[in-house]
Amino acid sequence: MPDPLSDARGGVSPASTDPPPGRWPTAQPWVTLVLRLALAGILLWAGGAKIGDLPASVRAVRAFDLLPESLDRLVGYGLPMLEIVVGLLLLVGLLTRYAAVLSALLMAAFVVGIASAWARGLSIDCGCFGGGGQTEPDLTQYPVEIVRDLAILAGALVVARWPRSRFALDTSLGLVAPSAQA
Amino acid sequence: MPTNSTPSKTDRREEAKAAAAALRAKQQRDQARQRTIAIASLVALLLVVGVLVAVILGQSKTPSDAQVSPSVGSERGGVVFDASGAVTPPADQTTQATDGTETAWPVNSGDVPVVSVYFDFLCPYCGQFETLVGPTLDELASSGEILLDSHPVSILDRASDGSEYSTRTAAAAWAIAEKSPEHYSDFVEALMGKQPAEGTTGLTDAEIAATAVEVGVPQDVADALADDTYTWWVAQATDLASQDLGQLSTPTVMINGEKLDPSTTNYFDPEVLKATIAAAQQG
Repeated sequence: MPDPLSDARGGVSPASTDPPPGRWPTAQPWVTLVLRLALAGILLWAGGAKIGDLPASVRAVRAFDLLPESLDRLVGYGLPMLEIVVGLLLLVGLLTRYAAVLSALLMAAFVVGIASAWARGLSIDCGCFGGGGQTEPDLTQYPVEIVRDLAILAGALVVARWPRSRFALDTSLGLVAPSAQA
Repeated sequence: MPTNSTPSKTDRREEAKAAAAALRAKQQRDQARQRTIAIASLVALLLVVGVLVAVILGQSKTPSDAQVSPSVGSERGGVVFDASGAVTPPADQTTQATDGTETAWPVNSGDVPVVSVYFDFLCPYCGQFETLVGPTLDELASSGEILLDSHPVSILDRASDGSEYSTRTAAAAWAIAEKSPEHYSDFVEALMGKQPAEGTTGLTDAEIAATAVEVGVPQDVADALADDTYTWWVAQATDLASQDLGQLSTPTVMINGEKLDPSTTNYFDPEVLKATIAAAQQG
């Protein structure tokens, strides 16, 4: 069966603007799969660690001293749930691109928050994976936390750029065009 | 094999084919977009409902029938001691400093400095603080030189292997503050003396009750320590402490509402703390 997209556009595939030389077209769905599952694992871990103790999550947000009290509470309660929902979407590969964009935005927000705490000389644990709040000045790990979140951000951007992957509900449900070389 | 005998016919057929294909492709894209929108809306809706439920549950700050706020608890979640013992908070807990700024009672409520201590029964440094400085603070309070504003909070439940040691002990402390306040500081000191390591389940409810009896708490009060009356209040007092301190860590010591910085004031040394309090008294 001919690809209707290429027929309709005079044989010029929209994917031809990508730089897909060599084995990238074959490897990409697998690369995205690995990144997608890694992101899902990180988000589910982070959300799961927080959701069991939401008051602690509120305190961790409050410790950043960035938001008004009402928003501290909303973020403290909402963030673990958002992380779990986005993590589940990535796990099953549903709305992959949107979930990856949301993950990237979350990581960017975390980096800003941690950098701001660092710049203001606060001594806090980011509470990224539960816990949080004030810690000893020599126990802060801002550079590690920022580099880690930037690495996750980069992975999320790759998934957002190439959202098509193996074993994804997006493909089964016809939300994305079936893989070109499938 | 196509011929050129009827070019216009072929052209029309090709055009029709292309148009049909374009239509088919458009329909497929529209359907995919509609499915995406439908699924995205569903996911967003679930997320919103989840957040709402959590926020509503989290803000249901009315205690259940069996749960009450202790009458000795201040608006900011502390139990206050002066020379006569535990103080019942005044009806209006707003106080004014000499410069007119308003604060929450007991700060600025009298002539003596207010020393506020925030602690968790599972926090090792809190145990050290209580052992090293607790008796000094109790003396200063009972001699009327300070108001002691004691805040048992619960931030280390996750470090007690599921037993919620921080909440159970803080709730017991609040029950004793309410029903047997003259034994409060002895109870805190005795319980800190038996402080378990982080990551262990700690003392059982029965062991906590036995500790209370050892320092003189009546048996009926001790028996009721684990009845859940003040668990709600502990969560509330912890949240209030977090709001007031921003970064709630334990131990935190404040004099007249000013946080002491452990890197410049070694408040684990009774003499240093006494000198700091004396300086606050003069200032």
